[in-house]
Amino acid sequence: MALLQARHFCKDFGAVNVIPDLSIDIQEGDFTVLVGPSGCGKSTLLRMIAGLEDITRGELLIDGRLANDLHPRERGISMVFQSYALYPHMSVSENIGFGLKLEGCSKAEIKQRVGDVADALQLGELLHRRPAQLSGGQRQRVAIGRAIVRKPRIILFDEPLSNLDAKLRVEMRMELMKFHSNHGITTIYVTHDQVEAMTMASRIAVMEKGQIRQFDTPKKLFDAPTDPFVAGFIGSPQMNLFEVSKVDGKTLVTKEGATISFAGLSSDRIGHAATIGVRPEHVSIGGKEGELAFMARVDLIENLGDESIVHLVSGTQKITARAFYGAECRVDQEVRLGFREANTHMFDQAGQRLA
Amino acid sequence: MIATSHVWLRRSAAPLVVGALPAILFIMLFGVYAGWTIAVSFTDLALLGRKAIEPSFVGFDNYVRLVARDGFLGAVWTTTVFTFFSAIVGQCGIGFLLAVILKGGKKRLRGIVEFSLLFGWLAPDVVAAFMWSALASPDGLLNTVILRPLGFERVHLLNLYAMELVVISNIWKGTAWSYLLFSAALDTVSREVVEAAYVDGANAWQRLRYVLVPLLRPQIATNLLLVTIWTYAFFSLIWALTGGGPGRDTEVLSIYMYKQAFEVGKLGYGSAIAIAMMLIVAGLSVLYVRQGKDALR
Repeated sequence: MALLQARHFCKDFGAVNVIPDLSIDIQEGDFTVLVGPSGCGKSTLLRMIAGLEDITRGELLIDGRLANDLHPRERGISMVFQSYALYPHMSVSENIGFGLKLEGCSKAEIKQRVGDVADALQLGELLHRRPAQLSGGQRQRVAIGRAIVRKPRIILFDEPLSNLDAKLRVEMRMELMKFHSNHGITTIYVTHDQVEAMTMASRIAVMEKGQIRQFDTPKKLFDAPTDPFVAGFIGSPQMNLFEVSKVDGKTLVTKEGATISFAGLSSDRIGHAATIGVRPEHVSIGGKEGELAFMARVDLIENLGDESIVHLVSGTQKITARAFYGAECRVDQEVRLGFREANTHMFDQAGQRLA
Repeated sequence: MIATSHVWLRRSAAPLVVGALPAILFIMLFGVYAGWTIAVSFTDLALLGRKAIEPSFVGFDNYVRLVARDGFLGAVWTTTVFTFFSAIVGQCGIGFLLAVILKGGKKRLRGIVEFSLLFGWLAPDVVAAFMWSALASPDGLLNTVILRPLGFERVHLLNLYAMELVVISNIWKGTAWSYLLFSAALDTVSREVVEAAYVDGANAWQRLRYVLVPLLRPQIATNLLLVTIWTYAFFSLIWALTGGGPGRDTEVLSIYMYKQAFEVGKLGYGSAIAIAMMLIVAGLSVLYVRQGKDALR
């Protein structure tokens, strides 16, 4: 049985419905990432799980026990906040030991347990410092220490890396991954950064408008997105999505005015799709026999050294292609583009993935 | 001073001095009055009679009298009680609690409370005193609307509970200031820090005790300093409500000083009281400022 189950969650803020009906099961020991654009309800979902927001309707089960009205501590949950929310007037050891002090633990026990956590997180030297005297990375470790000292079943992270600079973010990401693999505490992690999601998660829930669009492993999300939103959200640069407006023989026209020929294909299957997606790395400039093919004008080339991102336009349809050994084209040149049917992701009118 | 200002100001010191003349005179006036009060406190200057024209130097006699006779020490006690209950417990404490409680409260409730608080604050002292005496007098609202219909005897509240009444009326009058100050201060506390304390298992009291109060210590110290200074020298509301009575029950230092100086006519002694008051308030200020500094460290 799953450690944490959200059943038909619904959240209203006054008259505004943020989460209409959401269910998710989280397995013990998993690193689950909730990802989605801002305003999709991921933080709200996390705060409902934490007990910081009421659950308007629906049930939260932890270990099979109804937890809607339990205090976060009784839920066995602790949380690391975006700003880390350390108590500025307390030293590192007081910050970590605050929850234990409230529980009424003896001074000796608090000292022992804070010491253990500090050792595990390499905070031993810093125990007497105030948060203001710590670096960003050290603050994060104190926040994690404060979260794990009470030995929670589940630890929640609310965009903990979003305030850090790019270099530190990569370091902290690795530290968090190591921390999870060492301790194995069930983790739910909110981010809007899909790179964080892809690298850290054992399973990712992609959210949009208060709903989970897909809940799967990072690989499955990337290889077989179940709907166009997920297809567009996961992957960088974004997947090219062509919305088909009409099919005429062996050519199809997209809503944005690109005309794509599939004369080279043996099957007509592609003619039944409402939306066709193809990742930039699968779009080749020049194209080959037996591929879908269309003409486009080069708009911009971003040279990243080992690879180039080529932005093209066909009609008003924007296309991104990724070339790994430098792009053999120049701006404003008309080029032929091609991609293989095997590399396409096809969705029907209802947004369902076509097998 | 001038060196840090604009070049064109530096090059024209003469008009600058002329422009600053009113300010300089004003400051001198303060100095003169303070000096005069100090000087007078060492004399037996009186309001009327021979001593009004020919006062003589009496050394520390006035100050010795402060301690040797009952009046002053009694007034110090009365003032301390009045300040402690009306300003520190009442205005500061209630203001703080209201600010904390209403922070997350419903907008309409907050509007009503804020309006009521501000109404008390904006009402002139004399008007407030008149309202409270109308409420508490034998023919007042409390007696005619509540106590009499319930079959109780008419109660002269201003006689029986004078101190309680001035304390309550001053709380009513001054809580708005502390409330506004603490409301603004609370906005500076990160919401996540308070939530973190909640997730850590702190109940409302513990969040207040271990998180909010320590975080707001500098603001609390500043506010205590201000309301204590104001209340220690407070005059108008009490004077208009009870005149220091009944007997000397509500005779705070400012009223004692006024009576000694202008009713009894001993200006020298009155000045000594004023100086003593200033020293007491200065002592308290040092205490509070230290507190605030500790918090910032």
